[in-house]
Amino acid sequence: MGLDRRVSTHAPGPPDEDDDDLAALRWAGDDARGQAGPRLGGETDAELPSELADEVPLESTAPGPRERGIQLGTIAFGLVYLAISIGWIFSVQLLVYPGLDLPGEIMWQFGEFLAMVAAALWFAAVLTLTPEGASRRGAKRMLALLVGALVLVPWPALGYWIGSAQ
Amino acid sequence: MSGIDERPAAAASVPLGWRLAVAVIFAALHGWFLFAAASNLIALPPLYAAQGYAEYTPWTTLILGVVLPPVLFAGALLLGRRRVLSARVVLLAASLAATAATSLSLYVLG
Repeated sequence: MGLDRRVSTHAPGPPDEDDDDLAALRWAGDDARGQAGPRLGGETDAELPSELADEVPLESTAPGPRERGIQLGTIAFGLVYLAISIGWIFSVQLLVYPGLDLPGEIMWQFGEFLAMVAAALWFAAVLTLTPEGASRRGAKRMLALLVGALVLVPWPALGYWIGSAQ
Repeated sequence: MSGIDERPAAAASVPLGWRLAVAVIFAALHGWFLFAAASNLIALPPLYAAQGYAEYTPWTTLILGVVLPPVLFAGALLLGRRRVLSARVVLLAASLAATAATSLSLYVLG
């Protein structure tokens, strides 16, 4: 409120921060989510509710070794999935629809598009299924990512590259 | 309205019509790949036999082509139970994309 006093030409009055005003600046559920409302005039850290400080321990901000392992594993699999996507982009350029009918050709092209985005979609689905707080999250995520990497191997490009190397 | 009990409440609020529509659309798309694989399974073995190459019929890839689309679709449906609509769509889209990728792989390997 000090800044207001410098720029305002009106006579400074006492701040009329009654309960309604304070409630208007807070979202419902702030407390349940462990978030504090906006810092208001004169409020200091010492005035934060003590139960909020108890709910959010300081060490929760830094990831533990298990969480760091999950992050590293996810990043490593992310690189593998990126390679799979690149492999499928090469693969679809090697493939030609073997038929002559238009519906089959349309669905073949659609299938090629799906194959190119398959790795990204599988990765997104695994992240959706293993959110923070899920039970045995790390094991489930790594297993699902491993299965996806095996299912989505870009065999057309892989076969071509192996054949070229021989 | 806490973050913990938000998911079941949101999942329960997804109308049945929306859930059915998403499942039917993705079932039809999976069905196309199943139809193509079933056509190959029915038509290719007699063709191989007519040419005198019956022993070279790629049974493994032909059968996998028929098995994988329904298995992936059912897996996505099961994993999507009691989840919000967007999560179901992501799961079913991943299943459909995996179906398409495996069908192309099996076409090359067969």
